[in-house]
Amino acid sequence: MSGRKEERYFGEFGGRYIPEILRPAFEELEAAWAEASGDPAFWAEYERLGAEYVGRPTPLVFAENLTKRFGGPRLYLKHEGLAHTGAHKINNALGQALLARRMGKKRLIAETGAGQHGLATAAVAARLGFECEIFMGEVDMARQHPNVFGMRTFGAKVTGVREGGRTLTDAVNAAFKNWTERAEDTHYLLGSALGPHPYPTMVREFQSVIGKETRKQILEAEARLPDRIYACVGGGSNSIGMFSAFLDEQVELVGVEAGGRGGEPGQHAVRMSGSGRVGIVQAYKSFFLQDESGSLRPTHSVSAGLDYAGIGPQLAHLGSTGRIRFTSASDREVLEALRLTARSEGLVPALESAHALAGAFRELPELPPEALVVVNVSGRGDKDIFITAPYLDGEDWLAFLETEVAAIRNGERT
Amino acid sequence: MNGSDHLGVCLERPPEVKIMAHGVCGYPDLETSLRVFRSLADSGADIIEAQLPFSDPSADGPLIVEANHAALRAGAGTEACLQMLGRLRAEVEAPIVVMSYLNPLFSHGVKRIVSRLAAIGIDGLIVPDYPDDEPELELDRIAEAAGIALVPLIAPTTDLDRATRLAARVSSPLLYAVLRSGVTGRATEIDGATTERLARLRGRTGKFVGAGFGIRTREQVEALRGKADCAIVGSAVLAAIMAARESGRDPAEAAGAFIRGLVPAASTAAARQPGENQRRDS
Repeated sequence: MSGRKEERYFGEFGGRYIPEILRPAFEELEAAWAEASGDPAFWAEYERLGAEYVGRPTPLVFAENLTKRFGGPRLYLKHEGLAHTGAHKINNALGQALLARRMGKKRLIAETGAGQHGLATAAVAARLGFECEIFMGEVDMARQHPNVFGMRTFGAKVTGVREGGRTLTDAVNAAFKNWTERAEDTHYLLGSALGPHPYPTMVREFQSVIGKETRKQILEAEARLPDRIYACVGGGSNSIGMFSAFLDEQVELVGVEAGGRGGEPGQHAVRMSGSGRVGIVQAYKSFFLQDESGSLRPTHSVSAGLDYAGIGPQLAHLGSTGRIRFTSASDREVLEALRLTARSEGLVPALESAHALAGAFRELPELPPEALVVVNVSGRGDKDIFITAPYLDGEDWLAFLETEVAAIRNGERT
Repeated sequence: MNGSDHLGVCLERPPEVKIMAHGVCGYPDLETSLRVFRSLADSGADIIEAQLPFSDPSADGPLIVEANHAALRAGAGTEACLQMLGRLRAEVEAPIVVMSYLNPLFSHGVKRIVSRLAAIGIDGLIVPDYPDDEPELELDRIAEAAGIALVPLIAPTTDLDRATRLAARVSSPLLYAVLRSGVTGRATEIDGATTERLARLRGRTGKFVGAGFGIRTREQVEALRGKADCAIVGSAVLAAIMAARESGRDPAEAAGAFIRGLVPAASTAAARQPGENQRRDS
């Protein structure tokens, strides 16, 4: 089956551009996935642990105050932040870990950007009894230290990556390299719906629980499907997980990318509504932010989870065909959206998810009052406290940090 | 004579174990990399492997990654590298094999870059992330038509039947046998099982076998005698260059000295002088 193009590609995007050394690992993974995904007992276990350990289903919250504020369109928030470890990432981590267990693997490795995927993988590894190593760019480790601490609490080894820009892209490379050294007992638990086949399909299937639940919940609440759904798009696992349940429906799907500080190269991560070009990097074909010689450009986003130069191949395809409309939100719009959501609904979104909210807030006033809108809030914002606090709390936050540092130095915290 | 044939003629000549020496185009800068390649060839490297720098060199270890990024920072885009390679071609007899990841080639246009490489006189191409079952890029067919040897990579995990199929797909006279798992640059012990695998690969495919990943000593090169045809040296050359830069010595001279240290004394100088002029006239 591995030779059939239609299984590996979404339109012209996708594929499996792997080095020869990883071929046996991919053949094993592909066969295991084909077998497990057709086995009802596998999904029953995934659903059991999803309910019991992850806390699914996550609620679909009617955002009454935001609905009033924007003067009409009824706005619902899918609150993936209430999933265990604080984001949608655990849906995929759990699914792949169960697959790895079925394959007889003893060790899980993963890349992480914001740290949410690493945290989810570390938690699931602890729960299911795997050894675990997480690769994380040193820049991301510095800005997401609470998650580094979290991963270590779950017993995972967190390995800093010093190559390149030291962010998510470099962590992906490091994880692949580690896998080439140790594929026999190790599963690479890739965190987004990208990379070589079968990852884009497999990760989408594990994340499709978001869309399936949302569909059921909105039908219960409103007796109809939404007119429009927003999701943020880094690699794209939360968005494809949400959108996949609505692809064949009359629902407008909007992906919001990281507009960062502006349109200049290196200042954003806008692949689809910006300057991305088709390329083949990290073993898949998609849109990438790259220079004229085909090297990836550095990216910037206030949210580490969207700070990535590529995009999942199915999203690239659906963007090219126009099925998904892409837009972007700047760092500043995102922080404003976070503040507004927190104050209006008592809910702090992750900086990643706040992109989806910012995109929605910009467009809601144009919609008629009878419109029905869902925003996927893919994670909660606790992890971002060191980024958002200086912006929202200013001097008080600084004073708190100084007090804490002094207290630790004086031995008052041990 | 096309590139593939030029490579074949070189591989048929003595010494028994040839050296393919790797460098990164544009590292530490374009002019120095040109001098490094020239020095490698002058010091006994039989084949030059010139890597086009890329942001995400996924099969390479830390030293080569660092050199790739430094080259890019120093402005070694594809265009500049091609110009440098043109100058190198005019100065050295040895076959030149370009190593590149897929995206720099894809980004330039596969057809366009292969014809440019052929026009320069590049003999072979190594593309570590181009598998045999993603045919729509047609890199294999395009390289073949241009007479450039697309050198297949054979991993320790590749069984002999598959290796034979990979070898038969291309007219490249050379196979690149990866000695162990992992990335470039870590030390590799070349034991009996490894050399037997190389010998079987050579016997079954009828191709010349180059062996690489972790080669850095004359003993390792010697261990290949009778089993493989070519030792491929990469990270160790870079380590010599980096050490020279740190201590203020000439990187090109250091790279050459490293290669001279790998080559058995008997096979240097006279034995390595090409008997006749193999250079094509084009």
